[in-house]
Amino acid sequence: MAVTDIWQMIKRLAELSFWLLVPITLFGIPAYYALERPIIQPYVLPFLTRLMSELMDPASLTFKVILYPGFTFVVIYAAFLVLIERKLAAKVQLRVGPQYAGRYEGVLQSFADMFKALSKEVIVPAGADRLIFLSAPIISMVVAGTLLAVVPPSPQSLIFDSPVSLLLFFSVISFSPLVILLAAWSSNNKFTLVGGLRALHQLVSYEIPMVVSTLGLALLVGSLSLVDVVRVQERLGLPFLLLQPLAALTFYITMVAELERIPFDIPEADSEIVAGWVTEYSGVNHLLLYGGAPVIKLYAFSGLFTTLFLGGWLGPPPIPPDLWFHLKTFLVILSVQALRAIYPRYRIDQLLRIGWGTLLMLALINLALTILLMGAIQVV
Amino acid sequence: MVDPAFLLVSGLVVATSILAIESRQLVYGAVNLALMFLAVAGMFILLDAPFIAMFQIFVNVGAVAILVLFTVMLVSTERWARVPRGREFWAALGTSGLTVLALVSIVARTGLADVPPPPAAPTVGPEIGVVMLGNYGVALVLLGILLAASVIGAVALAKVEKG
Repeated sequence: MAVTDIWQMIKRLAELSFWLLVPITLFGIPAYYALERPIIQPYVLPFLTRLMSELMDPASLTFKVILYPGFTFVVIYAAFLVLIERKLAAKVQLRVGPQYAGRYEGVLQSFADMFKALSKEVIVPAGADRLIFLSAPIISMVVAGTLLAVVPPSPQSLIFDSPVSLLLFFSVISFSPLVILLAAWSSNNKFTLVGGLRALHQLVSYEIPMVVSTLGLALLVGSLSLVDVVRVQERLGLPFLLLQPLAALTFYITMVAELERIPFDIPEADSEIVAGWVTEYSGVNHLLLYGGAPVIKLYAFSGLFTTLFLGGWLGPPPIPPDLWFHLKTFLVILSVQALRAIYPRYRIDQLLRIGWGTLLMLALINLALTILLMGAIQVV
Repeated sequence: MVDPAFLLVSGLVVATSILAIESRQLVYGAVNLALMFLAVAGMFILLDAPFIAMFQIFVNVGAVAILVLFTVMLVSTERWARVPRGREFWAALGTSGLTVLALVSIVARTGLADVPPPPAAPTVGPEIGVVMLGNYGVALVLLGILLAASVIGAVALAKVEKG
């Protein structure tokens, strides 16, 4: 039997499935009760009750991963961040921005866009490598979601407390050029390939100053755990922004470049190479690659900046620690979004010169200064 | 009793490394190489060495695998000619399988599996630095010299003589 015959048979069976519902309703349900409720009563129901009770308990891992600070929170937050970005850029450029979805100032625009993208067709271009092409958006979402596990909104609502969480963040981030390169290659399109190669150059060369800029801070803390970083800032009584201003500057610029945001949006430069490495993606894949993963990454990176340089969840008591963290993170996100409305795009040679010349030098100078400072403190 | 996580990770390492060599398409081979590096990082995590695991991912997946993928991508996407598997293939498979079986049976008889693992806490941070600069200081300096030499060599190769 040929493959198409089997496929036809499966289709016919699926069409017949309605008629399966009738005997299931007539005989299946009475039989289920007559057999004293097998399978569902001893296994499925306890699982569901346990899931529900864990979803009610903020200290449980299920709650943290699914609700807060995990996916539900971040996805809704991301939807509003996209809206805020569009409104902000519009106000700066004397436009109005999205206005009609939702009763007030287009507040539901992101959700309208989301449903539109979900209802569109997923097109796989001819000559594309189907497996890699369709799995790239999912892997990119997984990479962005893994970052959320190590960024601590507060010690109570941290998903995964690792002794090497700073390194874990960087090693997960080092996946993204791989995913982008695969997506670009599998689309079988010249624009995506050019965009992918640009992304490769940009991400790989900016990872180095980013990691080096946090070395001085790790030396001061004596640990690679992000919780310890905030604890040390609490003991010192001042954020690392004041102790390590060079590192903060370098990290901020490399962060913007790693996020591929304006002025470093060279890999997806709209006016040159259509949409860069995302060109061939449509429908839900476009949603994941253009509106999902980058915005979640923006939140995760801003959270990391807040944790490293702005004191994380620390702040005067009437406001709870989680809210302090989110206030600071929101300010960082807003500053990154404001860059979009102000600056033009760099060329790739300028980008590489800034990365390997200026930023790496700044990061190394910061490291040397930190070592000198620590030596001076030990002598005194 | 063997740790099921260890079985899973080592199975992944073996499967992905075989796939990395045997893939008909070079890009899939490179992807499987990256997955293999990832699985080896999982092995380090099982050995309570998260620091080394993170550097395994950061260096090998983030740099080496990407470099390989970048090189492979420039090759045309046509499938490579399939080499028919002759008698030699099955002979080699049988020999290596017998060798692995013999090794496994020898290891199983030594009683190594019954030795309880040492109660180790994950080693991170300053302890690693002390060991690296103490016992392995000379090796570290030699590695540094090697890297510097290769960078200078790369610059010398890439430099275009003017005039």
